[in-house]
Amino acid sequence: MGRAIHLELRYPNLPLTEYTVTSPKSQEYNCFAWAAGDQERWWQPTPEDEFFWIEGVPMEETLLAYIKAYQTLGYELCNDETLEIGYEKIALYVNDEGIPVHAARQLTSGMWTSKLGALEDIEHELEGLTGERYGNVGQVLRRSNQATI
Amino acid sequence: MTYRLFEILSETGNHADVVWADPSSSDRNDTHLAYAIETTETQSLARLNQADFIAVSAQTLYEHFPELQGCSYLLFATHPLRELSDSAKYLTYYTFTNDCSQPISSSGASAKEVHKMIAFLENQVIQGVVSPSSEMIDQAKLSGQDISKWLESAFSIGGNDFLDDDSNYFVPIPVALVAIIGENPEIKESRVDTVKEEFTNLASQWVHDVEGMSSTVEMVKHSAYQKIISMGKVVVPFLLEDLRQNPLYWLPALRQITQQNPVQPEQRGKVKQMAEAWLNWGKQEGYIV
Repeated sequence: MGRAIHLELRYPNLPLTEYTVTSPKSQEYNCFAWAAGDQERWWQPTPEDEFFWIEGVPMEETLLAYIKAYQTLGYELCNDETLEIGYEKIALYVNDEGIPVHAARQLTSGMWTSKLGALEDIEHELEGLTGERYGNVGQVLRRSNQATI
Repeated sequence: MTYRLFEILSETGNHADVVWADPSSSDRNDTHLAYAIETTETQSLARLNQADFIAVSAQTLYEHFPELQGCSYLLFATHPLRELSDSAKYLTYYTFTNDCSQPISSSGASAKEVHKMIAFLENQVIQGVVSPSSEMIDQAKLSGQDISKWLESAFSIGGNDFLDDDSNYFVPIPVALVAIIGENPEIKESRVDTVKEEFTNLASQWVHDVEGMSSTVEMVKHSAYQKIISMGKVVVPFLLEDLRQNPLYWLPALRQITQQNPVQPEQRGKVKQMAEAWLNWGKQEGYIV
């Protein structure tokens, strides 16, 4: 689907890197769901807003809570964002306060796939979404690509 | 524009002695009243210069004061000398129908009723739900002429002891006039248009700023979203209407404004189903026809 100027305006690093739009806009799922392979729910660990969160994981906006959520899907901590054969990875972007504000999932090509809030999905380089809105990558997780959701 | 009680009542031009019951005013023609002001330490009468004319919705007023059905105006008035007595009604209000030549009862409201009414009016003013139209102001001025005539004719300071039950003392000093506005369709529609315009502007600004955010917590923190929430239940119909196009956006706002939760546990996170639950709630609650 190509590139999109409205995304480049919001994420200034996008036009400086390789990316392509891969879906129309949707309000039905967000990046945290998309990273976990869920296209049917909006994930959010805030009890008062009635969005989805994995049962048994603390409902709090902390990096630890997000890590625990993905650990229930078989992910483990990892310090390497490069492509590793036999593993699929999730990158958690955090803001200045260390709170997760975005998640991306690595594809077998080594590129990453992201759902941009209520906007489109894109394939991109990890650096393409760093900046004011999504901060920086604060944690990488990986699991064997033999694991199932 | 703020209209003062004086503007409403001054059309007849013959009651300035009553309205300008202000110790600093040089326009005091009534020596009895001037004497009362200067000798009873009622310096707070200076507040008369800030007496206002306000309007409230009849529907809202009647919900809180069903006994006032049929009233068109409330005139708050003080009786300055009465504040020397614990039992007398220093501050009261008189109720008028469309016929403003005399109040429904000249005894006025009790202290308890006055307290309740002031609390209600303060809340209405804070919400700012009714803005008087020019037609409403014109009508109030006409009614004000009749009320002024009543004030003039009722004024009495005779008798030996103003605290005696038999005293002829009756010096109502007007401090505020409250117009009770029926649900005039044009006024109602005007209000609806104003709310819709404000919501549309705030929503547009909010979407522009937060689109692309992944966390609804961050999205909800935005000042425009918070302003929409602060608009209260009056904005609920517009949130529900927009929910059809944008099923995600107003879910937190609806929850916060209404303090309701029609979303079933199995629907959590399923945005379209959550929106549908709210739309069904809106139909049940009468927000959606």
